[in-house]
Order: sequence, then structure tokens, then C-alpha cells
Amino acid sequence: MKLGILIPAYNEEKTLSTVIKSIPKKYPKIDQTEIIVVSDGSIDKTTEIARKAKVILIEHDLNRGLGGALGTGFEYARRNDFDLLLTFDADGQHNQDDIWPVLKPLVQKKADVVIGSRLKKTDGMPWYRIVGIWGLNLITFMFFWVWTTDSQSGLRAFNRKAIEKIDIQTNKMEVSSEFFYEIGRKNLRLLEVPITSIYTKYSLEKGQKNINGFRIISKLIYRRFFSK
Amino acid sequence: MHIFGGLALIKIFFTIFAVFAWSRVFIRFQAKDLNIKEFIFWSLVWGAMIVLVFIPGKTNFLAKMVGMERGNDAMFFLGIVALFYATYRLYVKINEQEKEITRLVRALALKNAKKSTRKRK
Repeated sequence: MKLGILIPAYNEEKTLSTVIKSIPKKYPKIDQTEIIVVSDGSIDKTTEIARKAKVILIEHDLNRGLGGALGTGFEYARRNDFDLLLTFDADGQHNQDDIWPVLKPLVQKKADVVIGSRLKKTDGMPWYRIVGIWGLNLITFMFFWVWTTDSQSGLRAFNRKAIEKIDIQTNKMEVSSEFFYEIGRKNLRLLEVPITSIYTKYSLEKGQKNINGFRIISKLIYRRFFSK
Repeated sequence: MHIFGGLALIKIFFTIFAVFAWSRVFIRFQAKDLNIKEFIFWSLVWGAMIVLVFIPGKTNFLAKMVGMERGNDAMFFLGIVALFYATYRLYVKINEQEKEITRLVRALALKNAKKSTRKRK
């Protein structure tokens, strides 16, 4: 099986190199592992760092946001026959030991999409972050009728069926909730596994602010009711 | 404030604006951006605006037709409805344009990604 590890990166020069090095390339039953970095119009050294590391580099000329970058990664995976695709944040908040637990249900064909949920064990997560994520979980459920304990997780894995069926249209952070819309309406089997997240001052600053929730709601309304 | 016995300043401003707007229409007609039918349509629209401003109570019968007492109320109501509709059109248009830009950036990025893998080989 061919696995793609997709890292969307926008101005992540401080962490990207460490993140790329930390990712193991060998997993049971997987013959080929490729790391795909989508540099989303970065204006710092992100692109150079990715070019030096032996990864597939896709460069956006303009910054389109998380959704835009993930959509490009999915399109690349579709065109290049990937069997599995795993999304991994570039800010260093994920633990590389969580990659295999997230991939395992797909390899064993128990699910089409696996979400690594940070809210199954919340150690070290700031309370306001927990509140924000729960709010967005409720919003995701209200709009798309799919329940999840972590609608905003960046560690997700998809099998070939999911890669082919999921159509990403939103551009920014709202993409995290949009995934659940696609999972729901394309009847994909969803599974959640607990993951740990590493909260550093850096990743907290790079992460979403709760106030951003209003923008996300507006975009989700558009996606749900107006989008062509 | 009233000058010339009951002529509100706002009416003068509005008339100047309407004439200015009509002059734009005329310029575009001369430059052949508008055809004769469009020119007549817009001339009637701005002409009617000026007439409506100067005849008191003329919009009241229109208001009564849609079930409102005064012409002013109907004007405000219709104005707000029109603004809402314009906002909605803009909202849809901007969102679709954002998607188009992403599609373009994506197509370019994927094209170049292919090139760089070929070079490596």
C-alpha cells in the first residue's frame, strides 16, 4: 500500500524540519511512504526547508488557508494513486507515536476515515481550548448531523475510497468541520482514536482563537446551504 | 432647512445627484457601452426620481397599493429589501470567487509539482 503523509504548512520554518524528521516512514503492510508538504504561500523559509528535506513539495503561489492546502494535497493523492492519506500538522502539536494507531483501523479495513481525537484524554489542554472545540463539535453536529469528539483535529487518516469521495470546497479552518459533512453525506465509516497533543506556546499561538468561531459558522452556513 | 419657500436642501442635493447619475448614463451611451433602449430606460429611471422628489405625496398611492400608509415608509422598506438582496448577491459572488482563486492556485501548484518530480528523476 502507498501512504501519503500530508503536511499543510504556512510559515512554519520554526517547526517544519523537526516535524518532517520525526515522522517514521515504515509501517506494517505499507510498502511506500511519501511525505507531501503543501507550502501555502509561505513567505518565510518553509519552502526552502521542505525542498532540502526529501519530500514532495507542492507550492501555492498565494495563501489560500488550511482548506485550500488540504484540498491540493487530496487532489495530488487522487492523481498519484495513493491508497492512504494522513494529515499531520506542521506546528509540532502531534506526536509521531499516534500515527500508527490512526492508520491501523484503515489497514485492517475497519473504517474509511479515522480521526485522532485530542478530547478523549485532555491532559495539558487549556480549558478555553476545550470549550472552543466543544462549541465547534456542537456546530458541526447541528449543520452536518455527524457527532465527533474533536471536530478540529489535524491528525486524520483516509483510505482510497475516502480520498476519492471527499470534495473539499472551503478555504480556511472551517475545512475541519467540512470533512464531517463529506463523511456524513458520502456514507463513509468514521472511527475515532485517542491521541495526545503537545501544547507549546508556539502551537497555541499558531492555533485558532475562539473568536474565529463566528467566521467559521458563517462559512459553514455557506457550505451547507448556498454552495454550488 | 428650507429655502425658496418649502424647497428642502435635500431635494436640491438629490436633483444634482440624479443629474450627475444621468450624465454618466449619457457618457456611456455616447461611448456606445449602452444601446438606445438601455439609455431610454435609465433616462426614465432618473427622470422619474426627480419628478417623485418634487411632487408631494406622489408615492402615497403606490404605498397604499402594497398596504402601507406613507410613501416614505414604502421607500425605506423597499430600500432595505434591495440592500439585503445586494448583500446576499455579493456574499455568494465573493464566496464563489474565493473558490475559483483556490482552484487556479491549486492547478498551478500541481502542474509545478509534477515538473519538479520529473527533474529529480
